[in-house]
Amino acid sequence: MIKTEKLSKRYPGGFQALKNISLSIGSGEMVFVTGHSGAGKSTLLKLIGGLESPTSGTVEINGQDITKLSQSAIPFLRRNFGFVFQDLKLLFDRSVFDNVALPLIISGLPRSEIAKRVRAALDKVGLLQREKVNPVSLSGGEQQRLCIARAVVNKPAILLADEPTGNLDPAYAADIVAMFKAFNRVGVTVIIATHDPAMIEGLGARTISIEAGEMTL
Amino acid sequence: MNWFFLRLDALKDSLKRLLSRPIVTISNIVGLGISIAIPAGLFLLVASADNLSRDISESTQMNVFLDLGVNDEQVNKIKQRLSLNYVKEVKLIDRDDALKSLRENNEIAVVLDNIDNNPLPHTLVVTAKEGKLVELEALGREAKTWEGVDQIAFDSDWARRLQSFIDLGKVVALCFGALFAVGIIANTYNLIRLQVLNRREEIEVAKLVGATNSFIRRPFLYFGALQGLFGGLLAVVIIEIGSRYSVSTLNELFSQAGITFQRLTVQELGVLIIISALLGIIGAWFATNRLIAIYNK
Ligand SMILES: Nc1ncnc2c1ncn2[C@@H]1O[C@H](COP(=O)(O)OP(=O)(O)OP(=O)(O)O)[C@@H](O)[C@H]1O
Ligand SMILES: [Mg+2]
Repeated sequence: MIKTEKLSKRYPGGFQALKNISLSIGSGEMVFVTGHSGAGKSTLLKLIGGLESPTSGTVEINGQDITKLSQSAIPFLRRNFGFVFQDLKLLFDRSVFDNVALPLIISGLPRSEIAKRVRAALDKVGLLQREKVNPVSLSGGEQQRLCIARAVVNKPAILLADEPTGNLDPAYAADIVAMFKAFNRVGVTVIIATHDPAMIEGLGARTISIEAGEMTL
Repeated sequence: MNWFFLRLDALKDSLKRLLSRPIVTISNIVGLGISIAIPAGLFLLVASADNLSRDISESTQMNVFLDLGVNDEQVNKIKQRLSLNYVKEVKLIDRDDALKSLRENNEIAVVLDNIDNNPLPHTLVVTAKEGKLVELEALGREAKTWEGVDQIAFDSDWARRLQSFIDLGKVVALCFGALFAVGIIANTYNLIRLQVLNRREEIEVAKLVGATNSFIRRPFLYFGALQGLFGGLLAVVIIEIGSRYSVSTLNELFSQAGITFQRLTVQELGVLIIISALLGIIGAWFATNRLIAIYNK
């Protein structure tokens, strides 16, 4: 259960990216966050995932206000989320396998366990055959899926995906949405930010729309 | 289990990075080794001289130089007056014997050839019993007023002077040590700062997916420690080789002066390696301290 109360974010430099966002997302729900470019979608996801801290307001995850967490607790909070970054944030100095393994290495899992889980995640996104290559040699869509594999590899309860279909062609985008639907079906709470209305159509999922930092329902 | 794997990974990562640029690594380690070996060797020399001067300053010996014109009878009389109950031995060094032994030294012999008369006096070497230095000094003051006695000299006098030189030497060695230590820290700092900057992207991503500051910092600290460790080991090798070849030569050279040069004990060598590793860790700590906080997003 995710609950925000009067959540506001003003970036250093003075730009007010979010104003008084109060919302609630149930466990196991699949929700879309839509809005024009610059509306504040990424900002909202980052606040929920503990990647940015709000200027005011609260974010409760399962009853705990994460904005009150100490600096040293933040890393452990982040391990409960899977985050698909808008700019992917892949590391091109290592293989596909090692990119996906990073969160598990950070959690201190034994090597053998890491290999099992990484291959399972790569299998889910259809990249198992490419585990040894460098992500540079992947197509845009494949890189997007690699980022998804890294987000789900530590079996998070909450998946935050920021423009996971980016600039992909519609068929490819549908593939990826289906993938998230599958995660959601096994109980994962999924929040997807997108400016692409076509992506949402016909899914019957709840949509939160943001305009210039404010919720418009 | 987690604890172990996290550290094993960090250690592997640091080793990999050390091995990935062998030339840089080797030159760094050589620099470290030399920077540690120099002050350590210097300290070893000073410590050797220190032991000697301590031996002497506890020595209960004085030399009584007699007037040039004294005859044998007077010499015997003075010798007897000196033979008090706390005196162990009074030994006469005859002025003719003294000159003879001087002539055996070639360089001085040249000078002596131009001198007709023996300029050396008879000398009485008075050795007091152990711990009787105060009494001996009193005896020396008194003996100075006796007829036929020219001068009194205590070994402990010049030992004190030597000691103050050695104390100065110690301070210099310590300053050198401190200077080199700062140098090592600064060097490691620069090297690791560069590494942190080079790995900025990796650090950012790792933090985004839940890495703690200590996780980020660990491979850099291990890197500093490993480099310091290898530098310390090399310093030990340098010191060992250096002392193997020089100790016997130095001992021969200075055997007359009674200086015996020491080698470092195994414990001291161990401490040297530990200090070196610690300096590496300190440099790495400073290098990672601020940068990692900056990437904190
Ligand atoms: N780190 C930052 N510092 C300053 N301003 C920022 C920062 N990040 C975002 N902003 C600003 O906040 C506003 C909202 O940004 P955000 O990334 O949340 O938008 P978005 O809805 O995700 O847009 P897009 O669809 O283009 O990704 C934008 O005007 C942006 O310029
Ligand atoms: Mg965005």
